[in-house]
Amino acid sequence: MSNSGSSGSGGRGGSGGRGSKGVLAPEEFPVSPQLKSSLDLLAAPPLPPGAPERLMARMREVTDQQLVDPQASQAPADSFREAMEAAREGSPYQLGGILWLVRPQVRLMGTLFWLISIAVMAAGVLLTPLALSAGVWPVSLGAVLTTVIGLAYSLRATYYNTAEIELSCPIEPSQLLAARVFIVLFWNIILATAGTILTMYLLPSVLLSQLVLSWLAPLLFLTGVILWVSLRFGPVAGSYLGLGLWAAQLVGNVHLGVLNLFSPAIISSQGLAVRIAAMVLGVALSLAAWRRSSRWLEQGPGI
Amino acid sequence: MQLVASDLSKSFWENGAQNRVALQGVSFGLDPGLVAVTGPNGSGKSTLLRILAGVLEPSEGQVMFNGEAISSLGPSYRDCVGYLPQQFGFYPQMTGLQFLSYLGQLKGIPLHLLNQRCLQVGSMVGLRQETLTRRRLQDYSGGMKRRLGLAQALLNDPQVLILDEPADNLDPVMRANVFMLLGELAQERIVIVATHVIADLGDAPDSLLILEGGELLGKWSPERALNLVANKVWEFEGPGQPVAPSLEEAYLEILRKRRGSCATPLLPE
Repeated sequence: MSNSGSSGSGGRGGSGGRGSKGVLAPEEFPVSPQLKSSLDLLAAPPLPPGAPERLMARMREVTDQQLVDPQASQAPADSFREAMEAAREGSPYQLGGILWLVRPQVRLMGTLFWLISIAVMAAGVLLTPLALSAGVWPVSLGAVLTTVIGLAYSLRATYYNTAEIELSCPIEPSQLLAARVFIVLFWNIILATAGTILTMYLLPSVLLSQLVLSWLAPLLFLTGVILWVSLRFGPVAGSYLGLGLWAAQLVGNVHLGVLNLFSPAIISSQGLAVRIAAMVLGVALSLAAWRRSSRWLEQGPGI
Repeated sequence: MQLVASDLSKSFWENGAQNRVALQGVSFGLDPGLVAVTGPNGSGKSTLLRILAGVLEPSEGQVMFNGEAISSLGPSYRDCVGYLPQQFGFYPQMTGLQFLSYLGQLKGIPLHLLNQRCLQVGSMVGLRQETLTRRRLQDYSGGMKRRLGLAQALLNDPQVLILDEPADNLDPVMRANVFMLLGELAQERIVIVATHVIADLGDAPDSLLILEGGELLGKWSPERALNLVANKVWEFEGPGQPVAPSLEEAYLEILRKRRGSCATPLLPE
């Protein structure tokens, strides 16, 4: 930039040659001597040494203050991480605990499952007085059926190939399994207890212990079997086996007179011992399955 | 922040014996930035990513995060991780928002922050709110499912983001957008991406890990990798002239040298 400050002002008319870009050089500009002397007085003084660097440093200070404000420029993701960790501190559900897993697993079961299980149990209660003469207690069969279906349904992560994503969350496989089984068992025990109370209201002659054992024993036994088989061979195999055993129990009760290990009609000491043994075996299989779930990380996600 | 893998090996049981070796003696260290993991099919990329994500235990070796073994950190390490598997499924009756909400709860996101966060990550990957809230997952296209998978990996604002083929099933524009997003996220995170399509990465990676046959061939910076093929890539159009090589060409050159002769050379030397 020329000291005359005449950067293009005054037009390009007049005589004289042009620079390489078609612009008049300062010495070619047609100005009067008086105007030129006035313009010379306005010439910018030369910059002292170091002035450009000082200016840039000062500009950086200003721009840093205005543009890099931690409050203003912080990405939402950073504040989210902090907000999440702060919110967890006051929560009763600490990371690593099992209770905070219950809610998402309840949601995973879906409204339809809860409604169907209530309908099955209600049907069982209503049909029991009618089927009692045949030695069948539908309320007991219904409790076991909803448990079998519920367990298979809750373990469908492998079928839908969601297990790997779920296990990448900050949970232990055993916690996830325990939460799912807890929900299904807890819900079905509640339903069966309600069905038992209603059944006893309809049939006052029925013994409470007899009725409870008629569904509790097969419920715990089949839970253990389904869990163990599902973890070993997949939830589809587990559900088929569970339903098969449930159907065999029904057929045995009604037609064959054998396989009536869970028949409520048998109240002898032998029948009682069989039921208790079935419950113990079911709990043992469940614990074995729960311990095995930690091996998912050795071979890759199973359920 | 640092992620260090020490002498990782992984074998799987097959036919009653532990005889399928997926990884062997893999060691490397990672700082914040974008790391590309690549290699031929069956080279162990997915196995490596699973181990780094904490969903698979190595047969030997260990992974250290900030100086602590992830095996001992357990859930607290996975709390810092976002993971996208190469193949994954959904619960088909859920909507996208329900699925993100479900996983968000598994990740321990407090309920009062959950809904907003789900919508936020959905927006980051280009899923509209209407799509998330009204369409069931069974009606999602392959690209939408892939983006939803990426969104769930971002839910807990992870410090370590591990993505196996994040751009699968995405159109070219969305692929570019995804890798641009990953480049931004890698400013303050360790982002590990496994991909076959090295060209998608462009200039974004800070380092390149190449696996073959379960072994790590090495860790290269893009500059070092490109130096391997400098002046070895030619384009002929009339008179030939050198062109700027790409990472994909560098990758092929590394394999060719490793194999001796079988890797596809662009031109015989």
